[in-house]
Amino acid sequence: MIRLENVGFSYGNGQWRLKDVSFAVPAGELAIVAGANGSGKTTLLRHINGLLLPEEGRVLVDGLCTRNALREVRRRVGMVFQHADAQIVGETVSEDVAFGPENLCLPRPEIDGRVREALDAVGLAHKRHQRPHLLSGGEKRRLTIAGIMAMRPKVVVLDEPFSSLDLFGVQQVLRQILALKASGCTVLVTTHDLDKIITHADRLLLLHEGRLVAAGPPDHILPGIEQFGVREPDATRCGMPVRSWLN
Amino acid sequence: MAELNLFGYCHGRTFAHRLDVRWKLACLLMLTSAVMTAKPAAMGPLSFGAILLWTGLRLPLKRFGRELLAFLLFLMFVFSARAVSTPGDPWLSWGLVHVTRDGVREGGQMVWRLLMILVLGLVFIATTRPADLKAAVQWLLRPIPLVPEQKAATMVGLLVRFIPVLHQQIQETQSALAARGAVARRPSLRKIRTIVLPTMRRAVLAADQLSLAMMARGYQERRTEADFYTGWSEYLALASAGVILVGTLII
Repeated sequence: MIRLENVGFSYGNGQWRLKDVSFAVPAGELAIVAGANGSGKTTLLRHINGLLLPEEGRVLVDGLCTRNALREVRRRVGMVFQHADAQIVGETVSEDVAFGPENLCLPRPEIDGRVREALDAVGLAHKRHQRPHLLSGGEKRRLTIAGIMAMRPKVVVLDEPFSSLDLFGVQQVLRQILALKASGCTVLVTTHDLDKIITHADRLLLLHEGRLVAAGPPDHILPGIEQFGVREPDATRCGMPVRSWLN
Repeated sequence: MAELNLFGYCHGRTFAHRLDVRWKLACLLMLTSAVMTAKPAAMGPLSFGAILLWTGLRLPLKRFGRELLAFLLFLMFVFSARAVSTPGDPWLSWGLVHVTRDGVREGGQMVWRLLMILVLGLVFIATTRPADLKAAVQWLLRPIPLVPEQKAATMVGLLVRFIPVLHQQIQETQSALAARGAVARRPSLRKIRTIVLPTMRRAVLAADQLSLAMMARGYQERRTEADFYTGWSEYLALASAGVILVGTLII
């Protein structure tokens, strides 16, 4: 369970990047955080992982406050960054996946097992000895997801996971997101490209200029969403259900 | 995509790949010492051994050629410097510059030694996982007081990780400049500035994001460390390197 209570944050320039944001996402749900560029989506995700701490209000993950239990929160929340290259730490694919479990001080055999399992899950087992910067964009994104999966978090937050990906790349990442959800993870995804994932979402959170302007089931929020700089999926504009990108 | 093979690990399951990194490092030191101290008569067998080692490890010969190109200028410089600076009978003369027979011989021997060391170094890099290399750095630094060995090892790892990224960023900046018509300009301070400044800014931003990503994945100094192991193969490798070193000293 993720709960934000009246969260406010500014980067010290007097302008609030988040203001009075409150919502809750129950365990096991897939929630989309949508909003135009600069609406505060990334800032919001960084609060859930504890990379940023709120100036006002509080962020709770499984009842743990990011301010008081930062290490525990980071064990529970895995974060996939927008730019995969920036997140890859290891010099080989398997070393990168092992980075998180090593930080958890797990015994080496367990780390090896988790690395194998995570790479199998994202279909990169055959590239485990390859250097990450030689992977394709979609593969890098899957590698970052594998790195998070190996830590077995309860919550996974993904920042613009579909940006710069082709159709197959989107499908591969989408499958991983759904697999995470199926495994019981709470998943939060930021995007302004709703078409690709909205049909699988349980909840839609809409940010505008740092404020949460709507939260609830996607069907209730999609009409009128374009006034906040987010394109409504073509299907719903025509009154039809959105098709999954996996079909 | 930027690919610097010089820093590249080639996955394999050979004897050298499986060797514990600490012992492998010790063997490398002994073999390098053997090459540096070997008399010309011993260089033949040593070279034959190095070629056998390279082919036995099934490392691609083409790759070695590619790596060698990067060093060619350096080797040529070493050879030329020796050829003209060693006193002896002049063989060729251009004005004040005299190439001596002794210089050519010494230069040739020096280049040969450097080539051998290069082969050994590449064998070490190609058969050692970067994580093991990092672990070896940590292990070596541990006895030194006031040196945070884990931080240092992580820095080494990140440096290795960042080299291809930086290379790629420089290439991208150059391409972006060329796309905007900057290709025809002669090398100038302005051109250097237009490449260096954006690259530095992107590198700093990338480093900043990387540190955030490490924090997000729970980075801490106390982490699971690499496993070291010592078995008969390590003793055998060390004994072989020792025999080669003593042998070259005797010959």
